[in-house]
Amino acid sequence: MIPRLSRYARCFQGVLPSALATCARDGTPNVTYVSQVYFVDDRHVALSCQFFNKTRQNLEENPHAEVELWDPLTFECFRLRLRFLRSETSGPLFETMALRIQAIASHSGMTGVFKLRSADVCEVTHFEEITGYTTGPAPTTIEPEGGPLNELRGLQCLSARVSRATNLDDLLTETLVAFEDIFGFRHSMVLVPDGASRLVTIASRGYGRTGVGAEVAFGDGVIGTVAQEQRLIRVGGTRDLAYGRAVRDRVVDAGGGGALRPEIPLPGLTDAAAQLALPLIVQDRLVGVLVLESRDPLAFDEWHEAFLQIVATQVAIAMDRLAAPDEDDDAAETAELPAADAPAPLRLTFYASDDCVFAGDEYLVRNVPGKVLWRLVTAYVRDGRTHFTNRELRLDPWLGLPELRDNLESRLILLRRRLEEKCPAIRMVPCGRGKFRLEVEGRLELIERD
Amino acid sequence: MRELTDDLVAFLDSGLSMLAASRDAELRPTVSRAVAIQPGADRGVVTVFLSDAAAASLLALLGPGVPLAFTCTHVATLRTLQLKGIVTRVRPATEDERPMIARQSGGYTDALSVIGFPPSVVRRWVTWPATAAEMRIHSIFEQTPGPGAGQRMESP
Repeated sequence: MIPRLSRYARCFQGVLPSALATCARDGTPNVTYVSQVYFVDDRHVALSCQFFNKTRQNLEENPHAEVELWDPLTFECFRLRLRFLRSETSGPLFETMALRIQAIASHSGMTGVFKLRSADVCEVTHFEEITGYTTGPAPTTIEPEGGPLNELRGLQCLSARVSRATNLDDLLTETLVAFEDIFGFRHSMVLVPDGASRLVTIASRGYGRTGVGAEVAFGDGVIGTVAQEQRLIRVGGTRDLAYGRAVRDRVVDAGGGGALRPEIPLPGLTDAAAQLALPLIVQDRLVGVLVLESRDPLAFDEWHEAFLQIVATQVAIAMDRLAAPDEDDDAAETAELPAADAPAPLRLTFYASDDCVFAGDEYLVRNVPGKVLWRLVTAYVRDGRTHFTNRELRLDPWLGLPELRDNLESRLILLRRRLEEKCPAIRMVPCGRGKFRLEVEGRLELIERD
Repeated sequence: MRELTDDLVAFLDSGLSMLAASRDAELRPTVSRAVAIQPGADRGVVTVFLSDAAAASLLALLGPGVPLAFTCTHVATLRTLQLKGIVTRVRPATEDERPMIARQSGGYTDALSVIGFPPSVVRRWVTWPATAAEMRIHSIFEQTPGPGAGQRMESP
């Protein structure tokens, strides 16, 4: 009798690679590791085929296989006899498995070098729990208290915080705090599209301040793949990424390294053992990517996927609402600038070729946030202006914002946080809907370069 | 290649994750984690050690003349090797071999601990008593994940 395989979900997360045995027509056995045995339903699993190899050849010759799985929390062992049924090269199962492989490949700079060729679906014909594999009492594996009901209360709390937010900055801050307070996810970040080809981190929690401003190109790594495909990805980072690196090393050894791109450092935890990245979507439009990380390889399971997609939708709708332009009166107040002989001016340099601003010798910000900063400090130094509105920035053709969905609020949050982190002598202080005040300590020296 | 090089002998003793598999008369494969491997003085022979409790179904198949596949991987680098051959003898592991089994299996659980698995969990693994399956190597395959996986290794 075969128990419900869904009861053994932990074994199917790929935290520990599984063992797979097949046999050629001539009777020669083959044994290999598979990074993940994919749970399809209570009677079926799927094996990922990235390379045409002996396992695949054997399955075509002889459909019998056996797989050994381990529970990563208890190290208990389970053995499943399989019968190969079919290879799928399209459809929901294939797409889901392919997305995970694509993310790993991309993270290792190997997009197109290895990819899912097929999802090999097998029927489970026998299930055995191996007695005597382990000794001593199993570690206590505590399920979340209250289960879904508790999560539902958490959802209520988070919804209340989301609905109270009156601006995008507060929304993102409150959301990430709530993830820690309510759900215990201590490492999180939100990235938003910056142009058509990349994301930029505008809010983070649990990484110190260094996460804000980190960029990821669409299609690169787990986060970029989520943005490009607009689909959730959950990975057990340690093993998956080790797999990607092993393949990469083999490609380089084989002389094929010339086409590989440098490995992309993930923003966030360097020792993340699990990562869940969710697209924030409103009406088929990507407004951001929410990323949760953990050092616990089992931090995220299927339940979190389903639950957090509901949360992500709420956050996405709120982000979209709060990113809508605020119409407000212009308020161009001026300030008395510090005397020209004040000591040690802060030197800001704008490089027009890539819209990049340096504070002293240190990179500060670039692209639209960089141009916004330059516009502000120029008006401050030239005219003594200190008060600005989002509206005037929207109407400024030099900034090159699109007419619709310009993402200005996100860019201003990024700029404000980069200033807090890298240039605290300049502050952007909100002072009403769609208005802010520029505060500058000391004298500014502005330099423009090509 | 039918004999282990010095490099491969050293690799086999580096605290690896190990698997073994064979098949029955109907060509239905059976797999089990192995607990140790020891190259023979004859570099064309290895002895694969299997836990009596965990590998009972695999051990039930093994005897002289039965094909055996053995794969081992380094946990950190995923460098992986597969040996295939024919079993020449099956016997109980001896007390003299027990420290070697403890050292090799301990190397594997230590490696798991390094990547985040609690030692108290992975050390629950039972590796003794064990049975030794001596195998004449017929072929050695490179199995490190990547485009070359599955290629037969040639003599240096």
